[in-house]
Amino acid sequence: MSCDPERVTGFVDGELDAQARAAVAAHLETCPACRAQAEAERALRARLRSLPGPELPAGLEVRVLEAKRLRPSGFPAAARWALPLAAVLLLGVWLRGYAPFVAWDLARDHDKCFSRRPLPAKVWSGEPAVVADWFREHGTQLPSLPAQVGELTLVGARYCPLASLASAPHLYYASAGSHVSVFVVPQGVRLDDRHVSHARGDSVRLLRLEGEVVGIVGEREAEVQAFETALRPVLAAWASR
Amino acid sequence: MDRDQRFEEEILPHLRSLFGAAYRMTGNAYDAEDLVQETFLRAHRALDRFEAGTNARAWLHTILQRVRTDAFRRKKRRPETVELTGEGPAIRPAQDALASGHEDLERALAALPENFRTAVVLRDLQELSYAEIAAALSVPVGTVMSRIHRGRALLREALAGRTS
Repeated sequence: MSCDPERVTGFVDGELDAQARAAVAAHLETCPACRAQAEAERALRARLRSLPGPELPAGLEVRVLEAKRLRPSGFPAAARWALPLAAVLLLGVWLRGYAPFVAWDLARDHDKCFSRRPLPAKVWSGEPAVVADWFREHGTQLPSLPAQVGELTLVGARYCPLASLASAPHLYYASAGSHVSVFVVPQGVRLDDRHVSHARGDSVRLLRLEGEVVGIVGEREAEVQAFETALRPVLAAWASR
Repeated sequence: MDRDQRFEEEILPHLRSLFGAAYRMTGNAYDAEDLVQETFLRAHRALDRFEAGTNARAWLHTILQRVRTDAFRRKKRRPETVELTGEGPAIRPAQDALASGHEDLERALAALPENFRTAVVLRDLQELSYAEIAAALSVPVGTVMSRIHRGRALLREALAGRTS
């Protein structure tokens, strides 16, 4: 065997198998350098073993025993997160059905879409049937919505992401100086019949008919009111289909 | 025997020894104390997974290394390794060591690169087997042997350098 200093270390520690141990032992007989290494390592190991340890900090044992009582095994570290996390999730679930929050969310999306030039519509048409076909192709049945309400005419539509992470059909109506959005709200909202509110300077109405919730957002109260009047019969027919 | 009783009889007696190792690994008493406290907390929680009759100290070191790894990840940086300089030890040696003429050895140990120091501490101070060290550090046994070899060689060089 030629010199193999690492194996000499294993030999000193008694960590070699019988065959390797015999080979190193035989080698040590003939090699003063490796013999010196083995002796030096044994001496060093003895010194290291005799090193006094540092003093145990006062009260560490008590703190270890206290800590496990404060965070006992039945209530592991993960559980410290579980409660706040559950609270956040519950709040999210609660918010997504909370009418004022939904109203705010729709107003936010209305403002966002109409602040873009051009409008971010995916389907451009003033024909309700064309828009309804586009949504049907994408898996959503819409009520037959009006092409025009007062001065405002249908210009296009798309799906918009809401804060509830659902995407809602969003129809754009516009006139020279004003805009109205009609949303089909994909999630359940806690409301009896209608919810009227103002959010972000917009007028918002949420209407419920059977299981469906439709949201109307516009800058002018009267126009939003006109849309509600126009949509009520449509939604009633749709809900009873 | 309930969990607390088992913990106090089989695990807690290793506190002093683990603290000594943690002290030499981290280089200071504060980090060592945090490390050891978290290690024993996890050990208490995981006590069902400790096989009676196996080496409790080796099991504790496996947990301790995991605590260190987690702490590194949290800090997103490597722990400060102590470089070999002539400016004295970054680890303050135990007062006993100073008094008993081990200062040169404490200095040399503190100055070892971290991987070598950890391997030497686990082997020569904690008296773990290569297999136990390999398990604690998640490295092959051959790597353990190599690190102990390099660690001891560097210690011997440092000690020889100081005495000459």
